[in-house]
Formats: sequence, structure tokens, C-alpha cells
Amino acid sequence: MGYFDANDIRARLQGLKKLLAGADDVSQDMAALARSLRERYVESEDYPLSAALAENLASLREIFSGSDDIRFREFWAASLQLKAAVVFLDGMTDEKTLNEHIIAKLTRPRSAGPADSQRFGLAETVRCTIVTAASVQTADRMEAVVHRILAGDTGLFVDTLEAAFVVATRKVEARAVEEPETEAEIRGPRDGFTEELGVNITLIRRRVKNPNLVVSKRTAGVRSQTDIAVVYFRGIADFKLVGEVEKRLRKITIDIPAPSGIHGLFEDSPFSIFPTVLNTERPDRFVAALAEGKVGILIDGTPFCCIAPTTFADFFKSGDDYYEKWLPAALIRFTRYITAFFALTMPALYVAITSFHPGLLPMPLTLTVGTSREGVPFPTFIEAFIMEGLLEIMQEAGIRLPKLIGPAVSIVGGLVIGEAAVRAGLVSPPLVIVTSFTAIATFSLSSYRMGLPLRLLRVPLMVLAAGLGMFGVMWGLIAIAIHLSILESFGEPYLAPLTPRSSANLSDLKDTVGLLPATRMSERPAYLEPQDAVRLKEEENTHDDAD
Amino acid sequence: MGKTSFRRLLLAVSLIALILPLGGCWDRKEIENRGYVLGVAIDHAAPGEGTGKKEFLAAPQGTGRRKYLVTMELPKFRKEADKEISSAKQHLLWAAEGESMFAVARAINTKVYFAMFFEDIQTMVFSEAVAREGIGGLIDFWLRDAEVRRKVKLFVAPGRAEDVLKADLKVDEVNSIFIAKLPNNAERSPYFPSKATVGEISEALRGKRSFVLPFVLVEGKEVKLAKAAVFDRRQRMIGELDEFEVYGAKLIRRELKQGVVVVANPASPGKIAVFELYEADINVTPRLERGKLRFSLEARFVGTLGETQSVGQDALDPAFTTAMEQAVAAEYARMARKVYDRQQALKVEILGLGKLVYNRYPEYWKSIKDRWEEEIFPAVPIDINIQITVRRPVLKR
Repeated sequence: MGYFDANDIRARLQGLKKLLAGADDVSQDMAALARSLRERYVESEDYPLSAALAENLASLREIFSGSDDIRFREFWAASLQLKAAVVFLDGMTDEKTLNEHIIAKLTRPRSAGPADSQRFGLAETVRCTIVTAASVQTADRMEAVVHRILAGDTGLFVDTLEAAFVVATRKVEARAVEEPETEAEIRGPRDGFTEELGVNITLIRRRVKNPNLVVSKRTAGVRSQTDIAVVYFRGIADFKLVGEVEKRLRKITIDIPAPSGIHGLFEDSPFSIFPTVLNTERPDRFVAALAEGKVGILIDGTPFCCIAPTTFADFFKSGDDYYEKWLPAALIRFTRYITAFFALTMPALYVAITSFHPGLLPMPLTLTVGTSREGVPFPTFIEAFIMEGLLEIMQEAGIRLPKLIGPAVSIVGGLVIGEAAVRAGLVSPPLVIVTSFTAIATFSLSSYRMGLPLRLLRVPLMVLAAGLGMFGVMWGLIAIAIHLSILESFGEPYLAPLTPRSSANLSDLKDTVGLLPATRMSERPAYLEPQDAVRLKEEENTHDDAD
Repeated sequence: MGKTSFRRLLLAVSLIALILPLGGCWDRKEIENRGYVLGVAIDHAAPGEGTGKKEFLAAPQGTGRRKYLVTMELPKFRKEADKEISSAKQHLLWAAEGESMFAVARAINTKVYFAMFFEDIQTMVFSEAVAREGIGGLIDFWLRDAEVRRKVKLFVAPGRAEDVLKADLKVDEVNSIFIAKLPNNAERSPYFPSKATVGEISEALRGKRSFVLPFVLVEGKEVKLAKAAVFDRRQRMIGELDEFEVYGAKLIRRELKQGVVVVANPASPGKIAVFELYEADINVTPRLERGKLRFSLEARFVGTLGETQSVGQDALDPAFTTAMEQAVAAEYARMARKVYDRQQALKVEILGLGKLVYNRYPEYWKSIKDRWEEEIFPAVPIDINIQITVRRPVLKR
């Protein structure tokens, strides 16, 4: 019997520990509550600016409260004999412009005196005679100023003035223009879009020096205010189409859209697995689409622009088709359709033929496949299903893996699955060939986005093949064909040039499955109903043309 | 896309899903679990049918005799590695006896777990005894069955047909596949009939025409195609043609394209000279004059001097060339004449002459159509005129 009961002490200590931990939680909750009271969500209401500088700055401090990268610089504008302040975002502003063309000019006393301000008024004096930056605009509402400051421009506030000047000082670190990685071409230009909207617009303007190339900017995203530019050729693009695109962009009410996935917010048939908007990071392809009469959408924050409308055939085109002689290009493009077909159906056809209709194979092939299947423990369907799963896993691993350990996937995949599985008799060699061919066929498609639905539809087709044989495969293909013919993209049928609406649209076929020489493709696709259908004017007409 | 269209999509998907268990993989059979019949041999059942140990072969039939022995040849599926170890034959033979081909095929299914599958049949061999009795009835099943293809090649074996499939050939191939490929050389060596598939025989059957099938002979570890079995309009074998007669028959049928002819060397006695045909232009014309039919065969053959074996011979000598041309022409004429006479003696006509008469004198043909082989043709004379041109007699390296 002692003074201290060990168990009792242990229990007391544990209780104390719990109390301490609980107190931590309580203090964290208190802190969060205090913070939420202090930093209430700012709905930057639209109200006019005040004439008092201090009042404006107080409002701004309140709006930007909690953010440390916003800078306020107050100074005495000797040239005006007034107090002034600049407000800008650290890191997005060109400080050289700010120093030399705004602060330096304003703080230097002026010899001319107040004569100017009597002549022009105070606002015009600042804008026209003092600040020497390239773009100076006046804004008299708070929301506009805040928005511009967040974009990297500088807000200049002068006491007694019921407006602010917005000086264009945006300077953002942008990735250099590089070759597009997801759309490799042999003879295409080497520049690709970047994440910076301004750069992307430059890339397009640089290619087309025409005032009729319209770049109309807007924002999407209630909170993010993501910049979006709708680009089209006035005089070519159908007005209805432009109107439709703008209408759909206006309807985007999501607060923060993901720039690379923004097309999901205005695409037709969101439940369909087929993409109805083409994404490209090649400016040449973008301009070519505009020239056809389509409308392009550039989004700040992603190198992938959207092209509307997009048809099924567009996913099988590549810039290289137009940079090479027409016959090889046409053959290559036709090959893409064939490979797409086989990428979709090859495993299903293999399952259907080997387990239902071996009579479709030539006799020696039947015997070869039969011999290699001898001893394989699974039915063909299970075998194909396993291989298909492995293929998908390896593809995903290849994408997600850091580039440095990428070769590991190919070694493990190639050696273990290809070689060892066959040796162990778990998989038959013809199926390995079929699966590899399917994978290669998917890779050879010019569009990654079109490859995805094909990959996805392979499995249901395989299931149909395993249940109903070739009958099932045909069933599946017919279902896919029906679905494709129902789809629309911005009012145009998805299979547009392939299934012409009338005989007048038959000429669209010259740039779909095949291709004709450039001089023979003198008309824009009729299904887009362009305002000016003729692309290549006859020799005599070109002289008459004013431009 | 609204809620309704999503529901519609769900409905469509579930309908597709429903049909799968309904179908229930009803025809599914893995490729290695089928019995690929590659060759079929049809013999008379061995004597002493229905007694003793041979009971095992009998096919259950309510009616009908144990008349035929049907042997089917199937490939043996083995792994690549096993093939190197044993050099045993790569085929399996299964047989059953009965009168109905169908019953026999089903009887074989009771011995194996893989069902007989007829889409890959290459070869079908009839024994001569069966052929002489008539193959028209036997072939009916193979014409009716949906799996059998038109291109199955038919042969006649002088002895037992099963021996052709049983033979241990020196080639590393299944017998039926090897034999079915042999007619590939029919143009170079025109000693056996080249066209003899199920489809063609079916046409002859319906058109009530007589036809020929090649003989397949087995000797030790080899097989060869030679000669022809002649079938009359009732699909009964009534005779055979030897190799020269087949050669001659191809000439009259205007099918001859290549081939060699060996004649005595006109310039050096005791030696031979060989003509190699490479360009043939054959015309057979029926002529009807005062109710009498007469054929005239005009042929112009161009070829080379293939071989002389006479060293130092002046092959450019015009006298030699002319003499050789005449000798070759005589040889061709002899072969054609021989087969023509033989056909007249057999009272069948497999030379395609009836078709020529029909083309030229359709009205006349109608009146004699039914008497053609038995009465009219045996009395029709033929004029044979063959011109030979020997080109490049001295082209050597």
C-alpha cells in the first residue's frame, strides 16, 4: 500500500492529455471563427469611386484584405500638388514602367504649372501630359478597377478625382512558345499555343493580317473571371454560328472553370462519349479552321483551344495532310480511318471469329490459332479481357509515371506480359499480337480525344462478341453508327461531311476520308454555311478584288 | 440532354445487357475445341460387317446397311515445343460405318468431345469400288451441309481410300492438306484433271454431264496424282484415262497452256528431243453439213527446244527444226486422237464438245441433247490439225 496508485496516476495523466488535446482543437476552432469574422467574403460590389483618395484606398484595403501581394504606394504628386497613390499586384506588374512612367513623372514638379490643368481638366492632364505609359484608361467604378488590378495593371488614384487611371503594366512570366507535345507533325510549324491568352492571340494575329479577324474577349467563371477570346473571320463565319457560340459562352455560370476542360460546359450532348469539340494546341490548325468558317475559342490558362463546330471527320485530319502531296496524304488519312476501325473492333473480331466463326479464317490460320490456343486455361473472351485490362493499365502508367522511370513500364510490360505470359501458357500468342496491334492502332490516331471513346467502346463490343458472336459485333457497330448520326455539334450533324444533307454538299467529301490537291479544294465546306463559300478565286477575279 | 434521354440511354444499355444472357453464347465454341475435318475418305465397309470386334465402328441407324466406311482426318493440336520432340504424324483419324453420311458423322461425335466441323475440308477421296457404284448419292450430304465449301477437292483412290489418309507421308503436313495442294502443278504437268471440286461436280450433277476426277496413288511415303477416272451422267465411274489421254483431253478442252512433249530426235537417232510449250492457241469448231456433225481442231503451239541430249547438234538447222515440229505435232495429234477415240468407245463426252455444239447450233442441239453421249457423239469424226513453231532453239547459257 503506497501513497500513489500507479493505475490511478496513469488514468489521471491520460485524462489530462485528452484535455490538452481538446483545448488545442477548441483554440483552432476559435481561431477559424475569428478569421471567418475578420475576413468576410468580398463581393466586389460595383459602386462609383469616391473623390477622396483616403476613402478609395480604404475600400481597396478592405477588398484585398488578407492578401499580401497587393501593394499600395502613396506619394505626393508634385506636378499636380495633390496626393496620389498607385495600387498594383506584386509580381504581375512591370515595375520599370511603374517607376519611370508613373511615379517619376508625377512626383517631378512641372514647369508648365497649372495652365494645363485649366486647359484640359485634371483627369485629362494626368492622362495626356504626365503619365507616359502606352495605355492609360480612366475608370470610375470600383469593380472594373479591381478586375484590372488583378489582371496585373496598375490603378492610379489621384486625390479629388472621382475616377482612377488604369495603366497597362501587365507583365507575366509565361512559358516560351514551344512545339506542341500532344500533336506532333512532321512538316507543320513548330510553334504551339501557351497558357497565356495574349501570346496565343499574337500567334494567330501574326499569321493573318486582316482586320476582319475578330477577337472578341469575354470572361467566364463567376469567381475566376477567366479570360476567353472568341475568334472568327468576319465575312466567312456564319453569323448564326458565331451567335450560338457567344450564347453558349454567356451561359457558363460555373464559378471557377478548369481552362482545359471548359469545353465540357458548352459542348453538345454531355452524356455522349464522343467529343463534339475539337481541341488543338496548333495555331496553324486553328487558323485553318477559322478559314473554313468555324469559330475558335481561346481560353486563358490552357494551351488547348476549342474549335466549333467539330465533326467526326475533323478528328482524323492532321496538318500534315495539307503539307504533303495529295495522294499520299489521302492514303494516310484513309489509313487512319481503317486503324480507328480496327482499334475499335480488333479484340471483338478476334473473340467473335475464334469462338464462333473459325470458318471465316483461312484454314492454315485456323490451325495455327488453334494450336497456339491449346492449353490456354481461359476462354478467348476472358483472355482478351485480361489483356485489354493490362493494356489500359500500362497506358495509364505510361502517362502518369515521371519521365525518368518511364522505361520501366515498357520493360515490365513488354517482358513480363508479352513474353512470360505466353511462355507460361496463360495467354496465347495471337492474342498478344491482337492486343499490341490494337494499342498501336490507337496511338496512330491523330487525336487523343477520339482515341478515348474507341478505347472505351472496345470492351462492350468484346462482351457483345463473346455473347452473340459476329452478330453481336455488328449490333454494337450499328448502335455506334446510330449514336454518331444523332450527335450534333453547334447545330451541325456530327457526321456532317460524310453524310451530306443534299447533293449540293457532296463536294464537301473531297476533304473528308480522302483529299484532293489544294487547287481543287476551292470551296469552303458547305455544311458550315459560310458567308463566302469560295476560297480560291479564279485568276481573272483576283484582279477585280479590292483587297 | 435531359433526364428523359438519359433514361432512354439507360434503357437501351440494359436492353443490350439483357439480350446477352438470352443469347447465352449459344454458338460459342473455342477455336481449339472444334474437330476440324480436313479430309474425308469413303470406302465400302470391310467384309464381315456387323459381326465381332468391328461393332465399335457401326453408326446407329434405324434403317440402312453398314455399307460405307467413312474416315475423317483431323489435325492434332500440339505445342510448338512438343513438335520438336516427337516426329509422329500430326493427324488423327476417326472413322465410322453406316449407309448415311450424316449418321456416320454424328457417330464419330460420340468418340470425341470436339464436334466435327466441316468448313475446312480440303480433300475428299472415294475408293474406286465406291466410285464405280456411283457417287451421286454419297455426295448429297456434302452438298447439303451448310459448312462444307464448294472448293473441296475430290479424288479417286484405286485401292482403299482410307489408305490415302493413313499413309505416313514424308512431308511434315497433314495428308489432306498436302494432297489438296497437289493440283497446283496441273498446268505445268497436265497429266491429271485439274478441275474437280465439290462445286464443279455439283454443277455437272445438275447439268447431267459426265466428268472426270483425278486418281490419287499412294506408294510408300509418297502420294501422286495421275490419270483420271471417267464418270458418266449417272455419276458412276465407267473407265479411266491414262496420262497421255488426260494430256490430250486438256488439248481438246482448250485448257492446255504448258507442258512438255518428248519425241525422237530427228537429227540424231537414238536420242530424244523435247518440246516445251508456252503459247497455245486452240480452236475447236463443230460443223453441221447436211445433218452430219463434224469437229475440226486447229491448234497453233509455240514453244522452245527444251532439251536434246545430242551434244554438238546444230539446232538452227531448218531441216531439224521442221522435222522436230512435225514430230511434236504428230505426238499432240496422237494424244488428242487417242482420248477422242476412247471417249467415243466409252460413250461419254467429257471434252466440252457438246457445249460448243450448243453454242453454234442451239436448235440442232435441242433435238439431239438427250442422245448426245450415247448415240450422236460416238459417230462424230474430228479433224485434227496442229501446227508447231519451235522458237529460240539455241538459246543457252
